[in-house]
Amino acid sequence: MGNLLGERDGEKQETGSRLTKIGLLIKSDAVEERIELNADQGRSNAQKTLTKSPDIRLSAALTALK
Amino acid sequence: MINSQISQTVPGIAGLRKEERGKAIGNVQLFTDQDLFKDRTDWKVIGFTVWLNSNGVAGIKALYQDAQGGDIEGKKNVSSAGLADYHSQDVRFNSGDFLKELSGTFDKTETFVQSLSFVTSHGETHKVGDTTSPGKPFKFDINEYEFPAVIFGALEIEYSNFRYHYDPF
Repeated sequence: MGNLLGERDGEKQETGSRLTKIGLLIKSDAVEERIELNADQGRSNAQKTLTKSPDIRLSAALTALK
Repeated sequence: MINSQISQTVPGIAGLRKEERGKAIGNVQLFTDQDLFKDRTDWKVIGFTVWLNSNGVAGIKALYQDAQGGDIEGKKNVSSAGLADYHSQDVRFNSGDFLKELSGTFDKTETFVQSLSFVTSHGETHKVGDTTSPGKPFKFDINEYEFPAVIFGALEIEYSNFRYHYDPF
């Protein structure tokens, strides 16, 4: 028997990495600004309702007297 | 009551817009940091660690900060097998500053990220990677009201065929 030369191919060994894709999830402040604006409008409408409603005015006056 | 109901912020990544550059084909591993934020409502990207070799970007990790000033470390997206051959570059933005724009270049085959450029809300630019070789530039479209909140992407894993020889005599 002569020299045996063994060789095993096909087994892979990790050697490194390279970045192929980069992605972002992007947040918007504009949405929050719009929500805040809506909230302000809601508050304004609520104040108008409060002013117009005599029942609420009476309730507020009673609360103030307590 | 009206105000508190309307201004409540939805936690997590709901409502975030997704944009990506590059490809994820072949021996790739996808990565994302989005699961770090499922219960959070407010955070920013305040820095990066980028691993580099002579070809460009080998890996990336983002650093985030929540509204209370607590750091949130992103996942380490790099092959541990190659770490010994890479050099890392840490980019940390100044206090109160955060990532506003991201751009970079792909190599001439348009397969691998060669360089990255981070621009902060205060207008500072930080470049990493091979910025001298000609490449294909890319940029994310981010308007004045927007800012990047989470990174994701893909790494191609490099392999070499393992071979061994033995001569018992």
